[in-house]
Amino acid sequence: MKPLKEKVVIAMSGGVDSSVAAALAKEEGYEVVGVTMKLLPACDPAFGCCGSPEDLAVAKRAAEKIGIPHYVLDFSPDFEKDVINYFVDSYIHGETPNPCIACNRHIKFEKLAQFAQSLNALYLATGHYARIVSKNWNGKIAFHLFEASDKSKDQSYVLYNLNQNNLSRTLFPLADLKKTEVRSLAKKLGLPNFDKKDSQEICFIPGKDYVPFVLNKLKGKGKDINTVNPGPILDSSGQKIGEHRGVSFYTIGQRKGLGLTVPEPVYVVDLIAETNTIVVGPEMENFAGGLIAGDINWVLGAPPDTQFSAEVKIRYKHEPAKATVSVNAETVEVCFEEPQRSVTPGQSAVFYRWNEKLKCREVIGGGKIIKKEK
Amino acid sequence: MKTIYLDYNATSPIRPEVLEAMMPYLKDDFGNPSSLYLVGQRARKAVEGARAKIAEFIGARDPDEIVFTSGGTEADNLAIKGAALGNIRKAKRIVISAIEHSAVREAASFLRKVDSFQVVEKPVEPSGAIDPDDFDEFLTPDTTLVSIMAVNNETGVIQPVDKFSPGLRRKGILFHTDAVQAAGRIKIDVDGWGADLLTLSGHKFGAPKSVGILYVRKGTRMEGLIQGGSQEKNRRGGTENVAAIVGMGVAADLAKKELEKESIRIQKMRDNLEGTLLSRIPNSFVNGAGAKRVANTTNICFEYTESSKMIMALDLKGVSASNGSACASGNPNPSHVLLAMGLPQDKAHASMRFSLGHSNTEEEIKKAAEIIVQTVSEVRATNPLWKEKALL
Repeated sequence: MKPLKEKVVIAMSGGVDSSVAAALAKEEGYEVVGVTMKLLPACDPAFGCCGSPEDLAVAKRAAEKIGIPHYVLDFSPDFEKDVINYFVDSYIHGETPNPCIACNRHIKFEKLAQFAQSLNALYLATGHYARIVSKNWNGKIAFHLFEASDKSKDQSYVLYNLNQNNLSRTLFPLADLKKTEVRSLAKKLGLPNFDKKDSQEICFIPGKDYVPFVLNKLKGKGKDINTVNPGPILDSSGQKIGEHRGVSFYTIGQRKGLGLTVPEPVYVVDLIAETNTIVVGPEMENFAGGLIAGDINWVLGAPPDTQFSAEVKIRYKHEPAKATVSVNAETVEVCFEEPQRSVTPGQSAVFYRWNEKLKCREVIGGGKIIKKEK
Repeated sequence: MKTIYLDYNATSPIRPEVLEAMMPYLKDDFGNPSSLYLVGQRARKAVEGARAKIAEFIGARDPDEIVFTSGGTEADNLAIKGAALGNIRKAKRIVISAIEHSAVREAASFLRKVDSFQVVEKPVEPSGAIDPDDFDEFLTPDTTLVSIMAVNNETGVIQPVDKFSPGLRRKGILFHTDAVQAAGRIKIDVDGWGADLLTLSGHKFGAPKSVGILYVRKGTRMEGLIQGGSQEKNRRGGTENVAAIVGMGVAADLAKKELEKESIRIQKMRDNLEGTLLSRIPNSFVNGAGAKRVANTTNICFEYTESSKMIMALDLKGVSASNGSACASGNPNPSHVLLAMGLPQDKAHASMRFSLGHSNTEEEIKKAAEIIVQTVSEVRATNPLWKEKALL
């Protein structure tokens, strides 16, 4: 009797990456089921948000072309709680959030993954550019997370919260492919989205401006929240040199839009939520020698040592910087070899280590930046 | 794996007798009923034959009161917009119930948008039925039309449609009822109900898709919406879908003939399904339990589940069921019907509709019940709130 094919649930956004990933999983011989998550309660098609009726239709057509069943699942209440509320909260506290990290952690690799498991799926697959390598350590299998082959598209940064439980049940079919290969594969397979533009924005905010979104979410409560009201801009000596619209609307390292007349360019160096104060300074004051991070995840379940060297990435578009990572009870201290620009509370610090054999970096772990250090 | 189909309220399979009756009109008898020569006349005869069958099915006195349309949605649109525009000198106010199908709701909404019609909604009781007693306060001299469905598609609740019209007739207000979900389930009686307009949809009772009727009582002023042909006595232009119309006529005959027997048979299976699910699944309840329902429908809330997940999980196990909206885009807005009945959002999101029909067997229903019980358990296991509750 022919053995039943192993079931794989693939998250399809309607984009070319997840569609090709679905096709590849099917080619591997899995019984693939496509799922698109509806993340927002009511989406105007004009908005171009993830999960909009447009994207849904493209995902369905792609699934049809590949020859796999496709369902739409409603995760909007969870998304509201775990991603949108977190996003707004972060700005209210003068931090800069990364919603993709929250979504991957709570929605995709927790709630969706659990549901996939309840359907007896062997894996949850996604179109992420990342790589999982399993290694047998004296009879016990460990799952390692690495950068993808295409370093320019690598998304391992947003996946640092995955643990062994997650990784043992996850598939990243695009691990070894370059984006250009993915697109030509899509074209060859006749997928409807082979030339769909990569989405650059936050999936639940139309356009690039998060300010009206945050204000809308706060609705009437804005008056009681100090960080969305005007406050002072100080220089590093503590002198007031201007006014800002609210700490929530700025980010560390920001130069434009400060409304200051100064002889040399200044950058946002500090956002102090408690006093709704912004501190600015010349470029060199925007550098930090280190940082403290909390809410740490170790991919293998524990750190490699109480102190170890790593390359640390502090935002999505950042070249990982050599550093020493010291592990404490609840937090981690990172000391850079060279001072780094715009260390931003709320963003994540992800620790990588170079693997000579695979010629790429492994994700050791990461955490949320609490504060920068001189 | 043979699918167990439990979504008859969404659509039903074409009955073999219906298909057989249709075939000649898809092959050699291809004439246009409006053509004057023999092959056209044969087509005309077939259409009129079906018209007479449908008239009898709903108790209409004159077959000419039947207007063939492309289905229930078009018929609802014709009723609302046609009657509104046909009586526009008189009034510009429409009253609908809070639980109407979107075809009625949106046709009314369209009139509000383009011609400033006033549209008023009569709320539904928590039981799922519209209360006829306090209806008078919704009626004003400038009301053109009232539309209240005979049977609700999501809950199966039978509305007291015979109680509305006396008050309306006295005031010269037209009464439309969407009887799409009533066909084959309860006896339709346009005179007993005092209906001036009534909608039927073929594919809900064994006929093909995209064919339906609007019953228009003689003397009712109504504008057609589809101009360009004098068909249907100038009320609905366009060459008739002869084969589908013929099919619908045969389906109506079957529905009328089998009504009593099928109701008993299907009610037994529905009650078994409902009973099993309610007793084996904790924190579950029927939506609309307190009202009279048709024999085939049960809308059940399985607390701590989510219907889009349930649909997918059940489908993978071979059971087809829905959450009341046949919308493939996974409309996350829960049923407006359940919300109108006062159900909180999360419980509306957790409700599933099972609707039985002609081809279901007792064995199938038993099997489906087991699958549903297991699936609820599996979906609940992924809900952190259920786990929390279990710990309390």
